[in-house]
Amino acid sequence: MIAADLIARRVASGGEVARGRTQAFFDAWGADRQAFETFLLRSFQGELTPYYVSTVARGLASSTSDVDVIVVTDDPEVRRTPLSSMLFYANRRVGAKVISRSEIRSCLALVGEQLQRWRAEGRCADAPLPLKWVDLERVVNGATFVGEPEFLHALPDISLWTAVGSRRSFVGYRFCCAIAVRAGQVEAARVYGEAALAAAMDTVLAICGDVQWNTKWTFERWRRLPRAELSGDAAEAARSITEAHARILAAATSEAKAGVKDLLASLGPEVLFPEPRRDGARLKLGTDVAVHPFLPSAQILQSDAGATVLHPADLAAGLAVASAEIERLTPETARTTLELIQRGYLRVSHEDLVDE
Amino acid sequence: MNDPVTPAERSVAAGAGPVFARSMLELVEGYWAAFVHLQNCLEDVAGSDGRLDYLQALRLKVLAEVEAVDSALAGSAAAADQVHAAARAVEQGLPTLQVSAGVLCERLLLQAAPGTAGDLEAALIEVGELVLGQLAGELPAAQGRSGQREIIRALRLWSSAAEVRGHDLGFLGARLQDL
Repeated sequence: MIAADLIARRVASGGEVARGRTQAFFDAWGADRQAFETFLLRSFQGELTPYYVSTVARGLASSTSDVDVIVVTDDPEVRRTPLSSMLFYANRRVGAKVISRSEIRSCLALVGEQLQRWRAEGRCADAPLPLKWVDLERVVNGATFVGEPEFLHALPDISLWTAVGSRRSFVGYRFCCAIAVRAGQVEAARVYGEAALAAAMDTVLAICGDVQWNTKWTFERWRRLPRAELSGDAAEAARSITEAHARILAAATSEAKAGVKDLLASLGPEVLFPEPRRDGARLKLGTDVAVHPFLPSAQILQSDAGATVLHPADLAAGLAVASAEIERLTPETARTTLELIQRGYLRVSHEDLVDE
Repeated sequence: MNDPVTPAERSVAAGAGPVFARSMLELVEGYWAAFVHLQNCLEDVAGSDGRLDYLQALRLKVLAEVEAVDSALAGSAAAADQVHAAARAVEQGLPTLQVSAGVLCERLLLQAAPGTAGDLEAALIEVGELVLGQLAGELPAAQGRSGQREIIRALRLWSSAAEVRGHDLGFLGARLQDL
């Protein structure tokens, strides 16, 4: 379902769009771009490639946005350069970060391996990357100070990887929405509904090559999605999601909020990803959570190390829950299960995931 | 050791009941959540330039951040992620800060059809300031020009108070690195 032509056009543009947005930002700001770049790089000595990233490179910057820069290098001298976390230039906060080129390449190789596995088996592991996902996404989408971007070629893989992850989030929040409705918590259901919609939007945006880590921009990016360029399944998914979003935002009564569950069901992940994938979700124990019968029922013990112990009776009903079984929960059990999920004692596991 | 906070270490914000934290560590955690994360979020709100879609996304984040402040002051474990934190806030309110779920939902325009960007921006700032206003003393403006100085001053004050009470606030060093 990846909109390969859209992504290919973006890669072929060689970063022209990001450079244009960056220049537009400086024009609106009224600051001298060359002077800014001289100021920022004055402390660095050695081989480096700086990128404007985040809202500046994306054309999302407001009148008060920070200017975020990532400096890519493998030069040990550059990596040792001390950076202040409180830089200001012409009354704007400047965020600068140095990351390793070799680590970027390792991340991209790892993502490529996981995607091969996903394509072949329909499963992928939630493997940790050497760099934070936010930094990887930013540098792929960034605008260089000079020259062509080095990692834009990775956009197809980053887009598909993000789409797989966002779809997983959609399934998880949809699951929580259904439990919240069963628990009689319609306000929470609406929150989960909005979060699920945001994840659905991120899935379609990623399919079109628009990838961003920070979800606070998702609705704004959705509004800017060029619908006229979409066709087939992507266009249909965009239309369905937009309609659902409007209805969720307008949900002011308890009935409407409880109805969010059905809205999300109509969006089923097959709309977002019409490929033959398993699509269930079920609950599993959270990380570092142990179950031990030597604990009074409904007592939850949390150690300083973060390990948590639960009585098996409190888990029995919750752990039996898969997507299709939520209606069999009693409202009280649904409330307990939801609280355990919210506190991290249980987690929603997408059945595509291999838990390693 | 979780000793009760002494009268000298707490004060009452005008119009609200006292916020009782069980220990110095919980107070510090709550203040950190407030002046770093909640204030950062409110800064995003103030810089929205009237973008309604952006503000709608920030509404969930404001809910999550006020819940985080409340949970920290109560010594409760943080929610598994921001969405879960926001979901808890709209159902349970902020019990430590004595803000009911009903008040939160009403103030954040969750009981009515979507308003204008101006309405939502004002609502988010109001709720944020409602929470910040209940925290006694001066909150460092972490994101401003003098933010670094203010944070360091706050850390020194907290360290002095912690030393008197025998607490170890070494974890704050890592927090400063994250800023």
